[in-house]
Amino acid sequence: MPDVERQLSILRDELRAAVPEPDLGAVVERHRQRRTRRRMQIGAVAAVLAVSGVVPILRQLDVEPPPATPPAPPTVTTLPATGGTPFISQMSFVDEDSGYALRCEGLEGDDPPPCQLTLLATDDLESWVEAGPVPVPERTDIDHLGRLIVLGPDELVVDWANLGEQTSSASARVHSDDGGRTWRNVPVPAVVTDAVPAIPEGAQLQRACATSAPYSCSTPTFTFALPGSGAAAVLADPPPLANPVPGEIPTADGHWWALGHVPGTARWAFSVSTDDGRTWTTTPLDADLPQNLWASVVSQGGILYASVSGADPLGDNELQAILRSEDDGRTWRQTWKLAEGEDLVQSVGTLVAAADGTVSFDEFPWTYTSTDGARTFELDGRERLGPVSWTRAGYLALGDRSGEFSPDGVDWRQFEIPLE
Amino acid sequence: MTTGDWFASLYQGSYRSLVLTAYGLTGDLGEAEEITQEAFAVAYGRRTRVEGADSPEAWVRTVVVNLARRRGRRRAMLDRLLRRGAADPEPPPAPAGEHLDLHAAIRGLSREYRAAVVLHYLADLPVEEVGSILDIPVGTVKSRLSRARAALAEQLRTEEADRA
Repeated sequence: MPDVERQLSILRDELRAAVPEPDLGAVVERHRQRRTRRRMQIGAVAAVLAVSGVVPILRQLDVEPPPATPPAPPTVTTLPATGGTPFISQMSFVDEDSGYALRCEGLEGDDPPPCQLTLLATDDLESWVEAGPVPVPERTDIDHLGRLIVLGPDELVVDWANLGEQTSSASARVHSDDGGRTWRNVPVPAVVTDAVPAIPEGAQLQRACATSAPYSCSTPTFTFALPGSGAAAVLADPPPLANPVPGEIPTADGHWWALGHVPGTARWAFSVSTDDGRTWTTTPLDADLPQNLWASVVSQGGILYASVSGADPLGDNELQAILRSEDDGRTWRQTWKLAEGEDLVQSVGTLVAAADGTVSFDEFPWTYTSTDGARTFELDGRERLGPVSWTRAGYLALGDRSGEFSPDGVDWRQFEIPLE
Repeated sequence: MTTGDWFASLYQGSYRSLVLTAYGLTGDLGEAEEITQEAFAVAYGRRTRVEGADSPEAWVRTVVVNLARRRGRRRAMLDRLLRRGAADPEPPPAPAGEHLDLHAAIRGLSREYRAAVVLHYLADLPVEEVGSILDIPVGTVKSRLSRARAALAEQLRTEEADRA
């Protein structure tokens, strides 16, 4: 009988001898080429989302009103493609199983018009149906991509930002209260003056200015679409920050937050609200941070974790620091920063503060996880399909043709989304 | 080049073994070499972190395994999108050696048995590590290895008899 194990040992040695081993210099060169490719990929994504100049082309999409009979299930309406690769520009979940996505088509060229938007809906993450086209306002001064806001299980808003007014949160808006079957235009003034004392449930915050100011704003505030009508309103008492940028939605524990400067200084500060924006706790940050920053905040078990990223001279996102607060934002402690000589961490996306106590960030497609409260991180072998974002129902990672969703940061479900 | 002696030692000491690890997961030696080179490029970019790891080789092996899995998922997704049955990649020409029959017999095993055999016998990984990589219990690893050995022995015996 053949001695298989002995022969396997010999084969192992033969194979090892036969495998060519490139010079280590080739590995170093490959590393340099990876970094160059990654910069180009991140730049391409940023270009898709960037606001560009005024679009001279008029577009209009007619939407048929529904018949006055018992409501029909969403029809599958596929618009003729106008070119460009369709992609999912946004996705938002109502709960662990159901949500909506916007599919964008026709975004190509240097200065494209607003893309054709189709609303997709799911109630099990397994199958997606086309709820219908989203009517694109007949405007020449709005962004290419619409922004989807899910106010409730069947209530939706799509906003298009104004390309000229940098401080206006939205310049065109449509609202639906039947899951996207029908839409109506909602006028949004350049300066929103209707103020409410608290952020309504389901609302998403955007920066706005209380006075008309094309390029800078001395009276910053936050605006949102009101459930029930989609009308624009502003928060009566925004946090006392200069140039504040809010988190669009609250953390898992209901904390609203914003990052900005202490007025009159260049010092960064976080403001946190635990009462839907009625009052804010503002804390200057005692951390060595660059001037150009963006942040995201997540929470788990009452602990807030903030990731703070800046741009290097090449424009790449660099994770600069991670901070932690155990007292609703009254105090913040920097738990992690890039070590001296450490390779830059080009992280796009939010932290994941999971129900098992771990905290992770992605340097796509790799995941680094901390088991000691965000002090140290190790490569843990997991991969994400795309950058992670926080939605009201959980964490979402969107890839090219598929995504994954987790309500608690521990258990993830993969799903595929229809692009045609 | 200033990578430090430790990185060069890591590379020279583990490259070939890691290629065979990737081979166990992909079934394609050319792809396995590509994956391993990519993994070392990733490790080079994080060499400070890798040097501080408990086992730098295990760190790079994790990257190898992840890359191999990712390519397998992409292939499976493409198969689904094109509505075709999952197929093992065409086996590349085997490297020259005396045990071509055995190598051909390994490539003829089902994907599950081939992975276990290559990871344990050719990449020299303990059964616990094989179980971790394949995400199966150690008992299942041992069972697959036992059945694979029996299948390989039968295949080799048949070929010996044919030649005789």
